[in-house]
Order: sequence, then C-alpha cells, then structure tokens
Amino acid sequence: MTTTENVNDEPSLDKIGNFLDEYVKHVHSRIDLRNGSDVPLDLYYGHVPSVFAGLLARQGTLTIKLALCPPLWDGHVAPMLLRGMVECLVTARWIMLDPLIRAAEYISYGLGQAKLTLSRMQNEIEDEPDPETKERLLSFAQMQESWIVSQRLIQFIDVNLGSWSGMSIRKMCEEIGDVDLYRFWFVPFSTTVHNTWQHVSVCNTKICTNPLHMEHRLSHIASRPMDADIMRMSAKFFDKLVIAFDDFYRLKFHDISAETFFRDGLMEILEE
Amino acid sequence: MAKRESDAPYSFRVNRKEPILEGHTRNRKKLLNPFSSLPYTQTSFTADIFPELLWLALILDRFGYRPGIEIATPFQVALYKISKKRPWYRLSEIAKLSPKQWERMAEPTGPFKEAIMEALAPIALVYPELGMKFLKPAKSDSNEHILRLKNSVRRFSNRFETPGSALIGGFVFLQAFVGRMQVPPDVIGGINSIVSSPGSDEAETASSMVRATMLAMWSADNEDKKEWPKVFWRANLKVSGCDYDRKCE
Repeated sequence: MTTTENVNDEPSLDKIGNFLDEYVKHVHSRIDLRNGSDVPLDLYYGHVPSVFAGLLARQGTLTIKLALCPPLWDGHVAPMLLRGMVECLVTARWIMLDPLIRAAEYISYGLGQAKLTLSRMQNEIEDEPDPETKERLLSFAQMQESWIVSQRLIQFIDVNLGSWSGMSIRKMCEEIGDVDLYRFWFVPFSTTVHNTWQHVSVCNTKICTNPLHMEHRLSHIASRPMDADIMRMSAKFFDKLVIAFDDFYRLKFHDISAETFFRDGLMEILEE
Repeated sequence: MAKRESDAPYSFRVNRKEPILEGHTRNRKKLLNPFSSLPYTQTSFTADIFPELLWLALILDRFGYRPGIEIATPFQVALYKISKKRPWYRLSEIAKLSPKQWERMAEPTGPFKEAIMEALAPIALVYPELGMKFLKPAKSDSNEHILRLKNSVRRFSNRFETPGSALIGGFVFLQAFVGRMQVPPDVIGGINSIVSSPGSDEAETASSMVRATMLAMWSADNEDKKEWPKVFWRANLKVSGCDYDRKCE
C-alpha cells in the first residue's frame, strides 16, 4: 500500500482508533525515554536541557494532536501543524549549534514577548469600563506576570521586537546545513498558514462554469480525502527532532521511530 | 505587625500608573531594559550562591531557624579563628578543613561539633568529590541523606520565600557577627521578622535588604569562584533521578 490511501471507510474505525491510541503511547514512550537521568544533562546550565526538553515535547504534542484528529489529515489544516513542526525542528537544531547562548536567547525572547503583552494589557485594563471584564483581564495579567517573575525579574527583561534568533528561518536552515528543510517543507506549508493564493485558489475556490463569466472563481470548501501520508510526515518530523536530540546528547536508544511505527502499523491494519 | 495589603506580591504592577516599559530604550529591534546599560554582572542565587550556602540550609532545616543560627554562629567564629582571610561562609571552603583542624577546633561560645556533624553528614556522604574529610560520618542509608538534601534544597533555594530569605538573613547575620561585613543595625533587627512574621511588610522589607546586602558582598567576593556550584548541580543528576509523573495523559 502507499500511505496516501484513503483510510476513512475501511477497515473498521475502531481498529484505526485503537491503533492511533497506540501511536500516541509510542510517541509518549519515545519522549519519556529521553526525559530521565539516562540523558547526560548539564544541570548547572539548566536552561539548555529545559529548552530541548520543551521543544521535544512540543514536537510530540503536535504529532499526537494530529494523530487524534484524522479529519485534519488533509491540505486544509494539517500543513499549519506541519509547518509548526518544521519550525520546531529548525529551532532546536539551530540552538544546538551554540546551546548556552541560544537557549538563553530563546527563553529571553519568550519572556520579553510576555512582558510586551503585559504592557499592552496594562493600558487595556486601565481603560476597561466593565468591572467583570476588568477583573478577568487582571486575573490573566497576574497569571502572566507570575509566570515571568518565576523565571526572571521583570525589570531586567529586554523586549525583542524582531525574530527571536535575529534571522530568518531560511538563514537558520542554511546555518544548520539543511536548506531543503526550508525550500521543500517550510515554504510549501507556509502557504496554508498565510492563506496565500496557491493554497486558497486550490482549496477554497471553484471556477464558475458559466462561459459568460470569464472563469471567475466562487467560494468553495474543497473536499479532500484523508491522507495518511500527512500523518506519516508529522511522525517523520517528530523523529527528526528525536534524532537531533540523541545526536546532541550522544544517546544510543534503539526505540522504533514514530514513522516506522505508524507506517507498519497502518499497513498491518489495511492488509487484514 | 502590619500585614501586607495584597497576598500577590507582583500583581500590583498591572494596576500601577508607571508603565511596564517605562525607561526602556529602543536599539534597532530591541527594547532594552533600563538596567541594561549599567555595568553589572548577573549572579544567580540558585545556580551559584545556594550551593555554597547549603551547609547553613542543612543546619537550619535540621534544627530550626533560631537554634540553627545558635549552632552556626560558634562554628563560624571558630573557623574565622583559624584564618580571618578565608571565606568560611562558603561550603567549598569549609570542605577544605582538615580532620586535625577540626579536632583542634575549640567550642568557645557553645557546643556545635556534634550538631554540625549531624547536619552536614548528607553532604559528606553524597558528594565525596567535595572533600569534607573532617566529618567522617558513619556509613548509613544514602536514601535518607538524599531525601534530606532534596528537602533542604526544595525549602531553601527560592530566595523570595521565607526559608530562602531566612537562609540569606542567617548568612548576613553571621558575616556581621564575625566582623566580615558592616551591616546597618536596622538590617540585623529586621532579620528576626523574616521568620517571626513571614509575609508582613516588615519581613518583606528585611528580606529585600538582606538579599541586596548578600548579593553586593557575594559579587565582589566570589567572581569566577563557581567550581563547587557546577560540581553540585552536575552531580545531582546522578545523585537522584528526575521526579515527574510518568503516566501518559
């Protein structure tokens, strides 16, 4: 079989559902294996392992969430998640080139963005006439501020208004030596995120067939078959980050890749 | 003792008139915080200072705040009698004490040796790389020692909470007592409030004063002396594995 086969009618949905639950457990197990004392973490510079642990779990979260929503396995929404996964992978690999500095920069950027949001909320709260809304906003602002100050005193945080790395994703891909990641994955997936013409015209328009109308387009929500290959790709991007993580820490775990688990498992079900 | 108006220490900030970004300057795509142009080096209390104060944290944890200081004071006095120049407030310095120096050490202002041996046994047993040869604790259940260490680190390593503030207050008091630091009387007087009325405005003021006093002294005295803190945090991965809920959600 090819993984692009339609999987929404046969075999039974129960079997597919159970298999996807197993896939979720498998992704968890891959993360758990790398979440313990077997990894030579440098706890003195705890920000580095914290960032990598977070990005690994983020990548796992995205593939798990996609696995749990087969109706999203088409060109309408899944590329948004896949682009996020590519970016997560690039971010982790780029930080790995200079972990002490870049992991700190990554964290600082996040704290700065939260501080900026807080600053905007400050004006919003002051001008809010409705006491109930004001209370709700205040509660959110307090939560946000507590999160920031649990990591750094707010007065000492800079706010970076540009990209967190100070460069584009394309440049980051160049630096990690993987421009194809940008050209063949990041850019095509971005069309869905940014709703550009090459996505919208294909997925959200239909040509009016009236010859008097000069082929203008009508709004349309294109029906797309569920494509298991999209899910396989998400497993692959998760695996790529696992490989980068293992290389960085020189780990030799022999657990099965998520892509193999997904592809072989699905094939088994379809062949039954 | 007056209670603080709000239990949320930072929440007032969103209500106050001064904007969060007040004083920031723009440099290309960055808004730089007002302190960024000042010539200061960052010192992390948790990463770099706390491991050196672990000895005091263990004593305070074992015996309580006041009895702990009553034990630590004659210990520090006796250490500074050996040499006034050595930074005996640092665990890595205490660890260099030889068994002979320990044996000869008098207990002029009160007994402390037995209590020190009991409190610091976990350090000697769990971190052999540090030395601490003078302690010679009997081999015993390492799990119990690790548990004691974990509890003390959990309790005392946050400088914004009462135990962490008490630890820093204890440090400042001891440095003043042995004459290594000139501290205004109101700072010493306020230290008591950290443990007697935690959460009060007086305690909060005292906490921030001892934090500032300690950081000023520490930065001047200990730049580049981070060997033991690095060993401590790195060793801890082997001492005790990660604690987290492993179940799949």
